[in-house]
Amino acid sequence: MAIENTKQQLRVSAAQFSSAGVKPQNEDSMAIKIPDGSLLNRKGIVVAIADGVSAAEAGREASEIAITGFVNDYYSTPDSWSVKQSAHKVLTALNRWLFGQGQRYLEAEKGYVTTFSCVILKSRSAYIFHVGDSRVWRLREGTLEQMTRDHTARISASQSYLSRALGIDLNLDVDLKVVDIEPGDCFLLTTDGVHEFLSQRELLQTLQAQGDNLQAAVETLVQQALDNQSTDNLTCQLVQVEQLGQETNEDVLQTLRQLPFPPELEVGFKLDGWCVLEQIHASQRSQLYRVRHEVSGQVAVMKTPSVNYVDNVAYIERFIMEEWVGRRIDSPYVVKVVDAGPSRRFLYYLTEDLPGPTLAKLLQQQHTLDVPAVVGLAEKLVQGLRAFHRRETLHQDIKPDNIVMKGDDPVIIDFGSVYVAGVDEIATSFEREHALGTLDYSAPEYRLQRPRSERSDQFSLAVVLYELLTGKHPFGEAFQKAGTAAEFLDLKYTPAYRRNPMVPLWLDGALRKALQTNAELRYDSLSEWVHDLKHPNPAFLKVEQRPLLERDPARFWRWVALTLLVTNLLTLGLWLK
Amino acid sequence: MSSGKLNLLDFSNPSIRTLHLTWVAFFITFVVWFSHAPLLAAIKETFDLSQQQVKALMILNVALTIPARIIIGILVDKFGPRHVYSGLLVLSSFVCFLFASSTSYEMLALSRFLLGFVGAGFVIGIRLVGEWFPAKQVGLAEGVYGGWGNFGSAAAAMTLPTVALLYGGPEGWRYAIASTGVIALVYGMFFYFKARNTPKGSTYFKPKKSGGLEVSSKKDFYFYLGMNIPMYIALAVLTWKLGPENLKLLTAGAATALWIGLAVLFVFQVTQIYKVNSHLFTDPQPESPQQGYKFKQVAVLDWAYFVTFGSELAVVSMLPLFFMDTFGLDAVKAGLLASGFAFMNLAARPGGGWISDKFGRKKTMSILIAGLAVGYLVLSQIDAGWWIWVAVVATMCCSFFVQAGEGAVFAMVPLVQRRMTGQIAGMAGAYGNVGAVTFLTVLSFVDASTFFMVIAACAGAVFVLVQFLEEPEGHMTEVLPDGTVQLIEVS
Repeated sequence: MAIENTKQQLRVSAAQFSSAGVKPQNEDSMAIKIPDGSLLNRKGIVVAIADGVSAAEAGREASEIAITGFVNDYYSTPDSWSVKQSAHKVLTALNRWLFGQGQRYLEAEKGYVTTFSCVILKSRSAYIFHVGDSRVWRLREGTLEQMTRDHTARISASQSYLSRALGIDLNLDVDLKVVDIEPGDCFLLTTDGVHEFLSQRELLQTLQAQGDNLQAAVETLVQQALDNQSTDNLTCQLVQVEQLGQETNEDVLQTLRQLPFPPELEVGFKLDGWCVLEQIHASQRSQLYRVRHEVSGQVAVMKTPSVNYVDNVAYIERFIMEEWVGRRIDSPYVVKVVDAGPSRRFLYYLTEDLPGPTLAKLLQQQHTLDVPAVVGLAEKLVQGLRAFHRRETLHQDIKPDNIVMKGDDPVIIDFGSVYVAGVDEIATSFEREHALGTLDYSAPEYRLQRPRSERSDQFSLAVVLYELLTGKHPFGEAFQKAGTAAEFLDLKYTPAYRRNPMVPLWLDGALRKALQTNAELRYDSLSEWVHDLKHPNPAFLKVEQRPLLERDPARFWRWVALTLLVTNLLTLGLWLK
Repeated sequence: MSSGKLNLLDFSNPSIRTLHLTWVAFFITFVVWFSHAPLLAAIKETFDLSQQQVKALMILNVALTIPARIIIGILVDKFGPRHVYSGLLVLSSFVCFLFASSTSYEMLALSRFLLGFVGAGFVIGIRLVGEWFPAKQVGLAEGVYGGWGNFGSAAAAMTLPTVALLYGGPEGWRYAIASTGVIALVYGMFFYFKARNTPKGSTYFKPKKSGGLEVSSKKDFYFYLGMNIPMYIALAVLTWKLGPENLKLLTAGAATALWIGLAVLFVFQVTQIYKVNSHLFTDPQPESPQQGYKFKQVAVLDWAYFVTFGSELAVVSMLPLFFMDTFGLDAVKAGLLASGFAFMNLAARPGGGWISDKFGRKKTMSILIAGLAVGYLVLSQIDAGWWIWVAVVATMCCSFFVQAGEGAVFAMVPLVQRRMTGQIAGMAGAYGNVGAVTFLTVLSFVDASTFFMVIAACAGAVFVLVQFLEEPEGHMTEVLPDGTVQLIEVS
């Protein structure tokens, strides 16, 4: 989105302090990371604290690994993952690793065990992840509230043990709490060396006495705990929210889920200020209208969900994701999502209005296109596809109907079938819909239930390019009917130059490679393919001169068998004579 | 394509072409399915059948349809509507030929029993039409499909006696029925070449697995299980009827085998239903109210369809013979007059849906069910002393309520739970067939007048059930004079 740069950013101030106290070694670790720019918007601010368990041999290492590992890995998770999913994945991996390290010691309690508590601040929410007996507190309007519950088992009045921590067990339960944040909120993180020796009232008094001087506050707290005969390492972190971030896409989507479906629209109807000019298309799944904004006069295309799916959670999720995907992809060759304005009261989304025609229309009128024109389109379409792939997104429904001309540029439309890595892994209570694309254009792996990849889009685009050059499908009618691997292998590819003599051999070679049934045999990268589409690749020049064994192994072996049979019969005849 | 109205003459529009192709296919299945009714008198004569044997034929005709619907549903999932519909038509033509060339009552009975499979054709077209039309038009399109297709039984009643007469001779009925088989065969092939499963270039989504209906609570789960029992009772009674104590079509061994088969099928179905709904027992979290729905809504609609469509199928089967016996008419005239019942389909079925949308579902349903109860009471009074035209008008009035009632049921089905429309429609349809089997079984024990009274009594009971129906709720939108769409909450 264009306004990404200008929008309000989350701003905080923070301070932290750690001391070994009376102990020889400091086994606590801590980190605060405030990234800038888009990373701040997408992943937020991490404040993390860990207390390596003293009984454990490697407490120091464990807490250090937990903190540095978490901060690094969390910011490396894909954009499309939610905070919850990202943190959860990273913590699970860290726990496994720590547990594995601990296994090397004969006695388990000497392992890599550490507590872990962290606050992730993102746009308008705080996500608190917690395991162990460190604590997270929130100071809001003069009240200090403990946000976490200590995971300890008390054995006697004086003795208690950690019941949950990183590295104890292969299975890990992490507490998660999500709370809204307000400007002025303070989050305080402490290890037990601090909060065991200071009462809640003392904590509050110190925080209030120090006011906005955060560094002084954390240092004073540690000093006070030391004065109270603290016997453990002491660590204290404090972060204060100064300004909230703007609502993110994630927040917007959350509210979209609550919106009702718009009714069937007629020409002249007005929806949130958008006036319906005409219906472009209606299918069993959705409707498309051309609309104009009453005030700005902007013309856009509105997609509304079909009431057929009004209670289908999976469908609604997918519909909302279409808009989300569109907002994330920025390319001149991919249709842009139009901002609907602040007050949306119905579920729909807008995209820019493209004059057209679609490639399908163009094909209908002209039957075939010139070779240079097709190569030019290919280059731009590949750029469009790469914009998808860079966001770990597959379009999955590349076909002539979904490519619209905007002047000389082709533009990819329709996010109705996209697949976003990561989103599919988020656990939900419903079964996600899986688009299989359009029969004629989707790669064989969809029907064979094999893993899909960027190469699946490559295949679809190759079918489109082939059709632009020849007006026909490379495998003919049989392609639609194929359902098993054997049937796909039996398909006969008709070289493009047979149908259009203007197509050079090497260009057909490049198309053919992208059209392999086996995805492994297609191009590794789209750029390589584009190169081959523009420059003669010598490897494709001698297609016809390849040995029969390579071109048609079945025929080769049939002839071998037949010849052997004849010679055997001849030998037999001669021998009998 | 831009309005909620359908231009049925726009043959350049592939959706409209598909609709015409599909309703004609359904029409032909209905012709084939009810080809015997207007010709029963001749058949009775040829084989010298008893009254009981004739009535058994009628029941056999609708018996297999109940399980066939489930099988057809699975086949459509697997092979797509185009293959299944053309396959069904082609196969049914051969069964038609078998029926036409029967040499014994057993052969007649067997071929009629197999023809029950054709009755499940409805399911296929509903799926196909649903793929081709957007939400705005699909209700109307399916009304056209169902209404005009159902008209096939009237067409059969009107024309087949005449066709039989044209062929001439006491065996003319054989040629008449064989002709319907030829039509089915030819059209089946035509359909294969012309119809397509989905609009060209439409994105294909993997169909959901279908097993049992999803329900929202444990209570509804048991309710749903209970609602399946009547279907098995109907089939079990039918088996008994055909068994050694009654019609002697089945040996004692065969009857026992069928009963065991039914029991096994029931257990299988229960496990299927459990599989779909096992989360109710393992997952303690109740579903959100938005997602859930009340199964009682489905149950009431099922019973409403039981008394409307069930009685229609039963009456269509027996009416030509009833007119002949009561008024001493010849087969052609009786067929023509009896066709008046199914004739109303053209307008009444879509009309019922429209009235229901317009004037409130529960009220419409109550009035229509009450109307048909009265209608059947009137029919039960018909005897030789009546003027024929009065009797015909009475049947037509009654059939208006019956078919408008069917339309009203199907107008409400999608509002229960949108994403399960197909499954709910399938269950209601099955109940319609259970109704047919039930009423025809009743007919085999009693005379026509009592038969009509039993239907009227059932309608009375359903009228009470309809009072438990809840008007569907949700957001409603309102369009202001300047075109602005506004949201109003309906409670």
